Amino acid sequence: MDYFRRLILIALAILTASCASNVTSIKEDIDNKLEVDEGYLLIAVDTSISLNKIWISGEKDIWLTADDLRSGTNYILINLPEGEYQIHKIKLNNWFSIVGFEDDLWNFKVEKGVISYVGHLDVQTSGWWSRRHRVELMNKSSLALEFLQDDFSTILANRKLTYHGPGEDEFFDIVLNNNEKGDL
Amino acid sequence: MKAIIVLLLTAIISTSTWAVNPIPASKLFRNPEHISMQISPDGQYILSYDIRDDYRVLDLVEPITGKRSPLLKFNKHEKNLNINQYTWIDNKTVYVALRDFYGFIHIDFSKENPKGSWKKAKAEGYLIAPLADKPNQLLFAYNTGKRKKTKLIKTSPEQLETGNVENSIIFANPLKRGIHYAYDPKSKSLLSVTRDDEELEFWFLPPGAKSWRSYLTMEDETYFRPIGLLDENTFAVLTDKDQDKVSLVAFDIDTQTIGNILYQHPMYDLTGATLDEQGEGVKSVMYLDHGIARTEYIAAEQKQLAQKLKETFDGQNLTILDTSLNEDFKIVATFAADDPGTYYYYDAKNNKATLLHRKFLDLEDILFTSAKTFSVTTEDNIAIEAILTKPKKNSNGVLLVYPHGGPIGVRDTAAFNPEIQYLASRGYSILNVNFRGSKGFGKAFLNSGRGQFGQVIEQDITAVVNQVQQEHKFEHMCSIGASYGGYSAVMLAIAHPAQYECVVSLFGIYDLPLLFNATNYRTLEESRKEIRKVVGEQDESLKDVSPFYFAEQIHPPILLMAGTEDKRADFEQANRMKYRLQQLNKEVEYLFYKGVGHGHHVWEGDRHMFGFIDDFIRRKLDLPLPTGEHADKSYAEDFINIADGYTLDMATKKDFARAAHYYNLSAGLGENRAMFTIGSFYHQGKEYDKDINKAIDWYKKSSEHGYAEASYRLANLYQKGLVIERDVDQSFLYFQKALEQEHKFGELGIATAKCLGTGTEQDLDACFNTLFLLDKTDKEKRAFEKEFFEEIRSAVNFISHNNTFNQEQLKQFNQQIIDSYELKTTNLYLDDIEFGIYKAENREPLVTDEIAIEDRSFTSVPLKKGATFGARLTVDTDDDVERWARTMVKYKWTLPEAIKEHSEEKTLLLSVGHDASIRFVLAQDYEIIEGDWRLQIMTLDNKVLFDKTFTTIESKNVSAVAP
Repeated sequence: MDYFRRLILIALAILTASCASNVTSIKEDIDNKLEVDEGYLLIAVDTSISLNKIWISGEKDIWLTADDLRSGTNYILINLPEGEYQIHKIKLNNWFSIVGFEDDLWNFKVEKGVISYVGHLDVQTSGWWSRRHRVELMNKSSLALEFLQDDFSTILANRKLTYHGPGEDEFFDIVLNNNEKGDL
Repeated sequence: MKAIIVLLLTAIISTSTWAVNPIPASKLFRNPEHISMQISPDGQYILSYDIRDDYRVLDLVEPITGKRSPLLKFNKHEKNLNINQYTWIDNKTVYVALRDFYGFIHIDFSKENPKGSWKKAKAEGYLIAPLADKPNQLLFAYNTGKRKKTKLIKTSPEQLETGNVENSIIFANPLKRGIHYAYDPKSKSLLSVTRDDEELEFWFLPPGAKSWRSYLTMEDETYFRPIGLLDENTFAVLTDKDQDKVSLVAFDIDTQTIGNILYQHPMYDLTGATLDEQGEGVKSVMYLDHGIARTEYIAAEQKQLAQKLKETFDGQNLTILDTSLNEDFKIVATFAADDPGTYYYYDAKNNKATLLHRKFLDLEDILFTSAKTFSVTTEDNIAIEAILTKPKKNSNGVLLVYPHGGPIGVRDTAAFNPEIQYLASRGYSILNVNFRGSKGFGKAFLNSGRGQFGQVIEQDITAVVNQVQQEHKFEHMCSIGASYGGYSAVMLAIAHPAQYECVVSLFGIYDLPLLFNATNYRTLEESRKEIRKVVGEQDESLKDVSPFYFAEQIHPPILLMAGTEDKRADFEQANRMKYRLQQLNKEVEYLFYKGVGHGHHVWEGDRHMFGFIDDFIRRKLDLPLPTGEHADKSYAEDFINIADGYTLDMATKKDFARAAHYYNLSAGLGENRAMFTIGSFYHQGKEYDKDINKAIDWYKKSSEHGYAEASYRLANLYQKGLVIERDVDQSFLYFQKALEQEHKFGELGIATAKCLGTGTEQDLDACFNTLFLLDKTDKEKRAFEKEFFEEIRSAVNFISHNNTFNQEQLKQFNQQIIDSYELKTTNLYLDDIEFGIYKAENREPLVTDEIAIEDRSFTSVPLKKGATFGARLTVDTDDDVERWARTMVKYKWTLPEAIKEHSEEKTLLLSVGHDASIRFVLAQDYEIIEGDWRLQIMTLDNKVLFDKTFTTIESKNVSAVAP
């Protein structure tokens, strides 16, 4: 079954501009970013080409930007208001985007006071102007945890890491002692 | 001839009792040389499609003499030149279809050696079938080019070649949405399939009928494979519809119902069947009996043939690949666990067989290990088939329990398997089990394995293991498997901790709930439904059979291998299992292959993987290396394969320490490339402290063991004299040795020495001939690879900078450069030059004519990686040449004393009046040192155009320095 046909490539010119704000990944391992009603979002983008932007809509509309979307694997850790979010659009460049993320396959939650890992967004396309592409949200929890342990050990030590990606998964509960952590 | 065959077989039988030696991985994990064969309609010739060296070749073979006449030859690396289909049209004509075109070979038998002439066809479409009783005639699906309309025509090769098919006879009307047409020669009926959305409909057109008849619409997953027409209303079909096992049944077209069972095996699913040409029912049926392909002949006449074949081939497993029209001549193939495939020409009338070919051309001297198949009855009275491959001698006492993947709808057979042979030749005994869920034993058996992960399936395996251990008493036992087999290997070790001493899991799964939650699409009900069919209900009980959740119960050492791009057993499965096992301080090793999916897509991956597996088991069980005729050679190869995996970015992490360890093991067994690599580690200071003397020693050792690259490296080091004292005599000797060892650039080294008169008498003519390809035609020049021209340029650069030419010699040399590189002038003067540090974004490429210099007055360079410095020059000439005429300058970067060996002597092609840059980027770790970088730019006549020294200093000390 070819689920991937549901997503379509369109020319951006016919779209109206959004008022989402640009965000970039947290660089420093200092746990001082969260407002009272905020949590950390951890998403990874695995992409075969460098992307221009990814629009995530929800409690707050944001654009992930090109610096965090280079060809390869990009881990993006940002602070966001708690609430429901959705992958909305992937801009390949100034002219073409992948849209059609209508169903709840692309929804995820950001939980207050914790790190919400929501998956690895896998974007495979044969080129910026190609109509052949495949987008999938994948559960790579162990890789995400290894990333946090390597690059954000302080934040990880302070905060509970929770899985809010596709389906359900107990990996973090089994390998981490989550109960002792939570809101700061 | 029978005598020859009998002798051959006797040889095989007697030698099979010899000790089995470790077989080199490169001989096992590779493609066979032979692809396929077809016999001519009169049975007098064979078409053989093979791979030889770099070519795919279609040969005409005279079977008695073995004489071959090549008909077509294509470079095997050209994907669009792969022959998809070839078929005899008649005794003199062959149809050949490639990816994008097709044509015919017309064979001329009038001369002593048959000769084929190839003609590409102009008419588009594809062959439906040759007409056996009408030479030079065929049925063809002709694509008219108009709205993709197809015409079904009876035509000739000549008409298709010229494209003149309008006069051809239309023998049937095509079907709307027909996606393929075929011909059943026995019933002379045309067969077709149409597609409507996702539904396939099957049709046939009996001879003389005007309209097509639909006989089946595929709606469900029932196995249904039409074999041929029994009469005008009845198809013979292989199916498991309404019965447990795949059987041959009569299918009534009018009523769409299954009638008589024509053949049903009591234990096995049928895998094939043939019908009698005279319309008298079933000729033969095929099935896998204890993992061995069997053909059972039903017709009396065929039974006689079977008996004759059995006698002639001494009871070996065999199959008839092709038969002449009168059935007098056949191609017969024998095969077994210890026979990868041997092909014979069989004269049925005289009962004579002649060896034609082997599937692998160079394996005939290798003794493979045979397999024994047997059945074990479980406590609940189910017969489980198993296969044991045990070395006759040199057994290392280790039983590897090796469950197959799937687990549903897959099975192991006793056919030749390179993995099994690799392990068996190294002393291991391998046990395969066709547990419940395996295919080929009927629907009930297959379905009884569903939802039995870690339960009935492993109980079946254990029942077999217990019986084998009772009979054979192996000293050690490990479990190994891929995919489901990897999971099973882990579960067996958990269930029987006292029995299993190590575990190898390849591309395995460990967390069954994760199967349902691995991606967002996997959470859809339609996806989960398919997973449930195999794994069972998605509930809490899955954790009870998921080793990730009770990894603390895994006691023996475990090796996890996986592909980072695996989407079937998602890579997350292996990585989280590794994480958990490490967290629990278990004895785990892992090797994750970059860019690899659910198995390797290149043979090098398999060679590496099995080399590593053998090494892992030996280390964990403390086993000595096998001894034997080929042991050293095979293990030298295994160890270098393992070492390469740590250096060539094959595994997820480079590890030079481990690489060095295995290169040393390999070098100790005589592998010359390993010796060279150890030398290069000392040379580069990689893993070892930099030691040029040790590097030279290893290079020499490698050269003495025949490695051409080592000889060439030594020749260049002695020639350049940058890291060792220059010794032109030694250099020339090693260039000669490199040439003898067939180094691809050996003659360029000799030519360089002859130009410079170093180590040999100066001989400019000989040098120029080789270096500037003076004795080569344009066609010969085009055959050289880019790499060869780059090496020529490198040699020209070196000579240009290091010669002691007199004026006349210099003039001659420069003239060759002028001619070779089509220069318009070399009489240059400096028109303009700027130098300094370059902006970071202009780092690449090193030399470009589109640059911007950030600070034009600095010769002080900040000591940091990526810092870029150099000069931008414009040259002009007094010669009367066109604007932007092509020219060349030479330049030299002399590096600080400590890293002087990395100094560069190069030439630069540029245009008169157009600026060009010569820059140096601090890109390597060893370049981050304080010191002087001197840039000299000269004309080819040695006139100095620019000479400046740049100094690298710590960033805080950088200040303006007057140019």
